[in-house]
Amino acid sequence: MKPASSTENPFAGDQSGIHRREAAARRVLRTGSYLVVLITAAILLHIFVKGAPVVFQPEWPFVNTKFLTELPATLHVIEDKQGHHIETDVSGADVIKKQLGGNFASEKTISHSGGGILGPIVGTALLVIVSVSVALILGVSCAIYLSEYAKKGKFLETVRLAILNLAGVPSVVFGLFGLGAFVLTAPKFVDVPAERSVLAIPLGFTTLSFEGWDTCVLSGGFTLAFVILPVIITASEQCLQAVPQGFRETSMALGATRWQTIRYSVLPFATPGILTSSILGISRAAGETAPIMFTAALAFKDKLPWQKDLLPLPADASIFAHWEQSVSRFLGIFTESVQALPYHIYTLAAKIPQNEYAERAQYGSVFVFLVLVASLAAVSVWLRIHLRKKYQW
Amino acid sequence: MKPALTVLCIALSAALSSQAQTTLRIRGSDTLGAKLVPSLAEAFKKQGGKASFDIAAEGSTTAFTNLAAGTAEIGMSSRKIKPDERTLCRSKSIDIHEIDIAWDMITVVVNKSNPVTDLKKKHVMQIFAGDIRDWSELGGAPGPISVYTRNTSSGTYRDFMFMAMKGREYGHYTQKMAGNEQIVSEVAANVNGIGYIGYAYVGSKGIKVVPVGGEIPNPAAVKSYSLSRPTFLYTNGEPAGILKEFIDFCLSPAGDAIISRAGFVPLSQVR
Amino acid sequence: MDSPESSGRPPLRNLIVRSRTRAVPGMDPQKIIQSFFGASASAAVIVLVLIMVFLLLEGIDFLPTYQRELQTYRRAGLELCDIADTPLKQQQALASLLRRAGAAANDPQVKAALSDAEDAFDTAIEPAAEVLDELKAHALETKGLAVEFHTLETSRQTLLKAAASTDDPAVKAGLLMDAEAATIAPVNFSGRILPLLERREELAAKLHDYTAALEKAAAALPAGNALTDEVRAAMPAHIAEVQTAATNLKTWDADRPVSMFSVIGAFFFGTRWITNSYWQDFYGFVPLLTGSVVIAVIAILIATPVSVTAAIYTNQFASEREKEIIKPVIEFIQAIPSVVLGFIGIALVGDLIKGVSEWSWLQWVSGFPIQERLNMFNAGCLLAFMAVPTMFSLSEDALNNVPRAYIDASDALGATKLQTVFRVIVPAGISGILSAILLGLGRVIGETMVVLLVAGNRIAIPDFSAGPGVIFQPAHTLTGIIAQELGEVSRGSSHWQALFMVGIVLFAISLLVNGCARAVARRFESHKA
Repeated sequence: MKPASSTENPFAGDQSGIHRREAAARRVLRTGSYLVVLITAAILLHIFVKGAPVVFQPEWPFVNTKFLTELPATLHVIEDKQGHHIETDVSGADVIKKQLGGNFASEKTISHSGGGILGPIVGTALLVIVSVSVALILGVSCAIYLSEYAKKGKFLETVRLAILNLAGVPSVVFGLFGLGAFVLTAPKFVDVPAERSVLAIPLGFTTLSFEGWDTCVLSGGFTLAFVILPVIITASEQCLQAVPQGFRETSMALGATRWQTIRYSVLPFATPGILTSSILGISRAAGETAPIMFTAALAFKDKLPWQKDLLPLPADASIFAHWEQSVSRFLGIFTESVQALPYHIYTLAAKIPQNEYAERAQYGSVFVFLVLVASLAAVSVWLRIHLRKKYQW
Repeated sequence: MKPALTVLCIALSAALSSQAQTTLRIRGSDTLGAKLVPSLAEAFKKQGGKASFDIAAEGSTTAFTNLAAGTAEIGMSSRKIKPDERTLCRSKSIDIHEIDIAWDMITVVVNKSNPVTDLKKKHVMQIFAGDIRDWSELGGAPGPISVYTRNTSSGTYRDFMFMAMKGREYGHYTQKMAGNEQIVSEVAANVNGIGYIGYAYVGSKGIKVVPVGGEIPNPAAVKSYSLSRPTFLYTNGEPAGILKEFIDFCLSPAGDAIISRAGFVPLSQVR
Repeated sequence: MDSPESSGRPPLRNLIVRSRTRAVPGMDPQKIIQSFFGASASAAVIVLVLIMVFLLLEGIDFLPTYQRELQTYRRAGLELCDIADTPLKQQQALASLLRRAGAAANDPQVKAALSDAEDAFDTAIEPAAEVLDELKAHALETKGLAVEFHTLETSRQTLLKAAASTDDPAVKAGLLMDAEAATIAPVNFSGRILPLLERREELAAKLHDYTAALEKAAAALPAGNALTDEVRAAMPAHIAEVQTAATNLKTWDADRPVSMFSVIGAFFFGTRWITNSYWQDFYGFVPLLTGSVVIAVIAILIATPVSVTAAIYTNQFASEREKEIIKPVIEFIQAIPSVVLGFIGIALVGDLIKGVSEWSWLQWVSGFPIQERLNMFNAGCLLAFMAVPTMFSLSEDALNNVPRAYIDASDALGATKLQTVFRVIVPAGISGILSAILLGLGRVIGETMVVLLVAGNRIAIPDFSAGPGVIFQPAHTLTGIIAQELGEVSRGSSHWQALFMVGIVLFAISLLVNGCARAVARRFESHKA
């Protein structure tokens, strides 16, 4: 509703001052909002301008595949006597030096700045897979309880309070928790329990020893799972609540049990929404650094997690041995430390020199990271709109 | 779904016990691990070494914590092992074996535009201990001195305390940086900055080396430089197999070339 | 809504129920399913409890460990040396002022006088410092012996335990032999402290000589110089401190036990966080806390006006079109990982702030031009940016929740839009906004990567005498110290435990802030009803 102008309202005084004040206040408020938008845009633009040239290139295939498909390596920069700089890796360095012969002037090496960032991308993907699976299982079940089963009472209150508080716990405290719980005390099967084992339960053929998983994808993934658990629970509960009450009543009226109602009349309609919202969890898990610092991340690793030199099996090995090896190769992926994108960016930001070569690696990684996170967010927004159109009740 | 999960969990836990041991896990000093050891590892693999590496370089202390926990094959350290660390390893039945790998020279650097050209040993001590707080006290342009040191677990942090500061405590106002490179970039960005770095990082932009007591670090005269120190690799017992191959490679002429290029002084040159 | 039990079940359902019942005989499958979900729901509670348990498990031993270390510190005589050493350190600060005055002086006569005064300062302290150095060396040796005894004793216990649990006689004999080899006589503290006690009279006398010499040197200082005046002003306090120290030396008692109360005090109110020291490690919590708090305050002061105005504007004034831009952009900030912002702080914001501080027309600002790129203000700006989305969305929710009737009533009374917003809507939503600010504060205090990379990592209480310019000083934080040091310490050492203690405190702070935010929000709800 607009304030009446002074000509129409004989009781109103001169309001031109008010109008001016209104306009000024509006401008101040608008400035505040646009300031945030502008700063965000400026930061993103800065990263884009510096990072995009690293990832994209003017000629086919327009994307710097090397940067996306190689592992991080030391960059060798060779200078010839004319002052030309040639960038190469360790194996290229000797060849180029030989070619240059007497023209060779100097060589310098910059760690972590050569090659690409495939290792960190893969590591982050693995961490995300583990953490999101764990968090989804726990979070969705929790949400189902909260939305479908829970009755008002002490227990429900406690759970809600816990979720709220869990969301506020600093990420570095999760890191400490992960270190204490998963790296140092989680249970595993061993032949001989280590000395630091808290508790060892002999099972005959093996021993269940509470001695921790060491730093590995599993430890990091579980830690991250608890970081994103509140996000997943809240989002899932909202999706479950959004399913109209009538669906449940109809199902119940037809004689279905509560579980059947949930299984056939609630979950199918909530699942798309839950999955969409869990993308938010993914981007949070991918971006956290402090929880994986002590539980999973590594500064340098020259192999992808699944590349392992396992002993070749003898020719007459049984199928079981082959099977066992493939299983252990697969599981081995999760029991090793990995490089992760956020930690890689931390290494690049704090531990290597600030020069034009390093800057490329830094902004390139940051750009790729942001593009990944942003596309996840965009997908989530798009899906949300799309689903809203699809399910209308 | 639940039984399947249980099986998966058990299988995962089981797999945790059977790890293939062909990766060399290297932990420890940032001075060694940020630049030198990754280059050595890459070169070793290039010339046919059959090992893969994962390296984390957070400070020399981590070398011994990881060796003791059995989570590293090689520990890198820019200082000698402390007696209590040796005891810790012994109590975990880890037989610590020490290998000299290269010499490093700690170099005191200031911003390029700083007019100070020479510092007395006593002055260096007083600066880092926080007694001298302004460049004008040393004949420079007036301005409060910003002192950048390595973080406390670094071997360089401790070595410098003994070699340059006679065991005195660092001043409260020193800033603890994550690695050599961070010190370089902060000193380069701050006219009143001073810090110390490994000789490997001297070539960076925006900083200059200050002679301490007239001494300039020079790879040809390592032993006579008062801030020089050996750096070490530590292993559990005599190295054998692939571990021995790698360490032999580090000490070979090919390794020496890489060590010199990374700004360290190979042992062959020290003798 | 209860499921229709009892008679008249449809046949299909009977079939299903029967088949389910057969799966787990004797139990109601519905109950099982429900308890499964109930168990999952309690996961959140369990995790919260587990976090507490594991933090306590690793951290609680800190108090006895630190108590033991402080006890050794006292019994070995290090504390005695520090009584004299702490005030003497001030001498260097005074000498520093004199040197600076000398460098600034133009008159060669004044310069010579200042140089003489500085020499006099240096010679005055020498006798006391000599004695003190000898005492320190002795005390340190005692401490070294004590530490060695402790490590060997612990390892001997481990070996004995291992020997006790093994069955193989050969292994057992080997372990026992190792344990035997690790045996070492305990340190005779009371014997080793005697030389120190004997010489404390001498040290006290030297301290008195020092004060006398210093007073003489100070009297000869040339007047009329700001720096020398500062020295002269600081002199009485310094001399009083040294004299108190001399008296304290005489009453100091090596055998006074260190109470648990004083250990707790040393942690929570200690002003020194010194680790990996050759002399004595101190875990004082105050420098880290002040760093965290100052940075959080800066961040909140910047973020509050921006996010609240943005919320008011978006909620009340913005057109649909504007909303479609502002809201997603602000929500997108949440997706930017903190480490990326930390990197931006190093690579961009630091130089930007430093560049701006060097503009000549801004020199009236306290603390300008700034020296350090990495400082609390830089970190605060980035954290403010991070806190904006949380505070914005929650404030906007609060404004949305204001009952429509309030707005209609205000409009009906002829209030302008502005009056409605600031006299009706904002006051009605104020608790929600406050709670949003508190939650933003929680987020800011708990943030790690930005402060680790950008705050400058100086473990000292910021020098508040610098006025508002203090915000341009570097600092270290609670979260930063954990991230920086935890990876580097051996498990179970006092340093490790101290870092877990810091974690416990952080956890407590987060619970407290959350609780406050909820309490504020609850007031809002009751007000609405």
